[in-house]
Amino acid sequence: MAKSGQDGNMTLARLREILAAYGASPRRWPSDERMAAEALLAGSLKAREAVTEAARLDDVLDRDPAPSPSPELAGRIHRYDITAAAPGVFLRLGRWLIDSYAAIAFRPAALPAAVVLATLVGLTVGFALPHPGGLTPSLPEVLVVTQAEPGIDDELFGTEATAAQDTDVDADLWAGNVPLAEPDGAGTLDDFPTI
Amino acid sequence: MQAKAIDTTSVTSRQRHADTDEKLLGRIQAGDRSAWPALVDRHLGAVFGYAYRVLGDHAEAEDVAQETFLRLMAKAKTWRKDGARLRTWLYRVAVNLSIDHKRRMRPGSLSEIADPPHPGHDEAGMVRGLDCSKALRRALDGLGEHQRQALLLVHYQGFSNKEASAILGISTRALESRLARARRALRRDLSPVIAELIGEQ
Repeated sequence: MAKSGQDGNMTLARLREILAAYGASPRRWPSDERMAAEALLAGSLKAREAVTEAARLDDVLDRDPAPSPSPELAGRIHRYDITAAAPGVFLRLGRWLIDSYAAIAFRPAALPAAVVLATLVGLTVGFALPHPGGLTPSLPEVLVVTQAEPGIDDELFGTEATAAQDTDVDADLWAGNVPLAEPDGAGTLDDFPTI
Repeated sequence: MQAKAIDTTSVTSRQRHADTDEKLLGRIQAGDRSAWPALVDRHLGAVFGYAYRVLGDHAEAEDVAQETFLRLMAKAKTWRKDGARLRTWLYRVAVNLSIDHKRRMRPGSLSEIADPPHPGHDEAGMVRGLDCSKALRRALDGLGEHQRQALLLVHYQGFSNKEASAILGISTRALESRLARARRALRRDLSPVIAELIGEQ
């Protein structure tokens, strides 16, 4: 594809390509090249001859007007109950909230403010939510999940498991041999709060 | 009093036509029934015309147009302005539906095209006009599907190169290539008609 010049000047070769693809009418030409093409046209006899040649096919194409749809078709479509398909109040409200958030959050200048706001909301919600045994997970829960050193947990928290049992469970757990649900119904690992 | 009523109607009518597609969709989403016919009237003729040129059959083209607007009705409730223009979306649907319909049509049905309205007044002129239209439609039918779609969207439906390439999901360069091939084939197939028209002039 021969491009027009960097300075916006149109070449005769590029104009011929435009005519070959879009025809003789400038309104169908690419908008970013239209002015340059018309400028070339004004000063070039060869360009005007090329346009006249392209216009002959346009003339034939334009001799075939499409018929109109029947009034019955328009009537049928008019009668569709468009309001039955209208969204509910909550859908519109939700869309408004998303649009408003997007309008604020995706502005570069508002990004730091959005991050601070999101952090504050996260901390507030996190501290406000009730948690069994306090605001943070209790040490035994943490230690069970992270597998503390055998024996220490017995001493500190009075669990009945021995160091040897703990070690066995460790090995099985990491090998994937231990089901997540405890057989005695004591709960699952999923019951532990997320840290 | 009567004059006042007529004036109001005309203002409403002007307002309906002044509203953009997006405004009309917004009114539909707000439950305004009057926005729907305005939206349909704005686009139905062109969508039908496009489908007719692809299919060459009035009833099939009406089916495509109706299905296109049914889909618009379903889409209207969740339409969000995310860069796509309604007109572009409508034609994307119409293009796909027309291609589907055309595949289902029995072979040969495209040549059974109804005669178009007579463009001339004298009998000889009418015959020439019909010959020209028939030759054109046969030539258009002879194009490859991709080339025909490109030509219809740009030449007959008035889409810019960027809009047409967005509808067809191709680059503007690919669109230009399809257009050039389509016009080259048409010029070849229609050379007798073109020569006759030049002779008339």
